[in-house]
Amino acid sequence: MIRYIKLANANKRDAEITFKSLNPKSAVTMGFASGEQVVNKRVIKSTSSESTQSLLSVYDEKPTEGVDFQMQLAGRLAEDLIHSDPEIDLELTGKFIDEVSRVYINEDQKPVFRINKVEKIFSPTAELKEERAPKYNESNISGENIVSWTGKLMPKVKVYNKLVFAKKYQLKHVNGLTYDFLFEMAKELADKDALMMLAGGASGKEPLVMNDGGKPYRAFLEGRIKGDKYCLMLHLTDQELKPLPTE
Amino acid sequence: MARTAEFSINGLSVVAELKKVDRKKIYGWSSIEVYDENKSKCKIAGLADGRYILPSGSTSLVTLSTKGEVVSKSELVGLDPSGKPVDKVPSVYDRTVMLREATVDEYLSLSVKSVYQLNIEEKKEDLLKELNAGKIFYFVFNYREDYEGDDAFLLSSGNEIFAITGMLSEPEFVGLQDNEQELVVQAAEVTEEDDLDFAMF
Repeated sequence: MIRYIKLANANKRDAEITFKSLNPKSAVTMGFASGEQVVNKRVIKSTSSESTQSLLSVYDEKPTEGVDFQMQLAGRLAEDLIHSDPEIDLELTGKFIDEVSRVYINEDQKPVFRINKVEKIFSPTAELKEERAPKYNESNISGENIVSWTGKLMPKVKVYNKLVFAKKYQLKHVNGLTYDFLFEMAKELADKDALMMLAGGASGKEPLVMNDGGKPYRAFLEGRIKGDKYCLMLHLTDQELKPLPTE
Repeated sequence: MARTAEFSINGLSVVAELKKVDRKKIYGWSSIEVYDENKSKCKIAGLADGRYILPSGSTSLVTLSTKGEVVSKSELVGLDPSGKPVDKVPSVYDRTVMLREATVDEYLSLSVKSVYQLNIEEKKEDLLKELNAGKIFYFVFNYREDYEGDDAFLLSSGNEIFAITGMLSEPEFVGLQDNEQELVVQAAEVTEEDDLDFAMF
C-alpha cells in the first residue's frame, strides 16, 4: 500500500509525496540443514471452555469441613486432569487458525460488549500520576495536515548522540516536480551535513503521528546525495540518549 | 558483579556490564485498562471462527515440514537467503567483541531496537576519550548465541558510554532524469538546545 505524507519546506511550499518504512527484515530463516524450508502455523491449544477457571466452575461440591475449599476443588480437578483429560477438546486442540478477531472478555471469560477504557499514567518510579480517558492520536502527516520544516537544523555530529532514532522511513517523489522538491531538500541537508527537525499540527510544533491511533514521535529529516540521485530519510524518536536515573 | 562483555579496539580492551536503558525508567509510561459495566476488569482475547474464545496463551505456533509433519525446533538451523546453513553468532558475553570504526551515516541507518548503558570499572576514561572525540564503533551484538546478530554501535553522550543495537536499514538513492531547479531553501543552523517534551503523554 502506498502511503502519503504532505511535506512543506522552509518557504512553506508543500507537496504530497510517498514514504515507506525502512524496517530491515532478517536475512536468516530457519529450516533443515539440507536447505528444505519449513512453515509456521498457528494452532489452538485450548479455548475459554477448557481454562482452569471454567473447569473448576462445573463442580457442584459442598465444602468439606477442615479443608480449604479452593484446595478441595483443585484436588478434584487434578484427579480429572489425570483420568479424563477435560482440558483437551479433541475437536479443537491442534486446529489450524488463520484469522482471529479481538474481543474483550470479563473475569468469567465471557465476551463484553460495552466497555469503559481508562488510561493510567505512571511516573518512572511506577507511581500512578494520572487517570484519564484514553488519548487517541490522529495521524497528522497528510490530508489537511502538513509536515513542516521547523528551521531547527542540527548538525549530524552534534545530534547523533543526543537522541535515539528508533524508526526510519524513506521519502520518495511521485513526479518530476516532487523529484526536484525532494532532491533540493536532500542536497541542502547533505551539503550542511545536518538533520532538519520536522513538526506537524496547527501550531507547526507538534510531534508527528504517522498512523491513526499511533504514538507521537519527534521527527528529523536527513538528506544524502549521489550524483543526480537522492535519499531522504525521516528519523523518528521518542527518547533522548541519556543514562538511567540513579536510584 | 553482573555478567560482563569485553570490547577491544586498537589494543584498548575494556570490560563492561551492559544495563538496558528502558524508556519507561526515564519518562514513565501509560497503560490502558478496560472495564465492563460492572466495573470488572476485562482482558483482550481472540475469537476464532466467530465462536471460540481464546484467552491469552490459548494458541501456539507449530513448525511443519513440506510434508506437513510437525518439526522440533532442535532439528532446524539458520539458513541464508540462498538456503545455505549459517554459523551461529556467539553471545557478546562469550567472546571478545572486536570493534571497528564507523561513520555517522552508517550509525544513522540503524533502526534501533535497544539501548544499553555500559558500566565500566577500568579504562573507561580511555574509551570515553575516543568516543567523545566523535568516534563511533561498530560491532555485532547478540545477547545469546543465535544464527543472526544485531548491528550495534558504541558511542558516548556526556560522560556515559552506550551500546545502541538494532538492524541497519538499506535506504536507496532514487533519481529522475528530468529535473528542474525550483526551490532554494535557507535554514539557519540551530545549535542551542530547546526544551522538547519527550514524554509526550
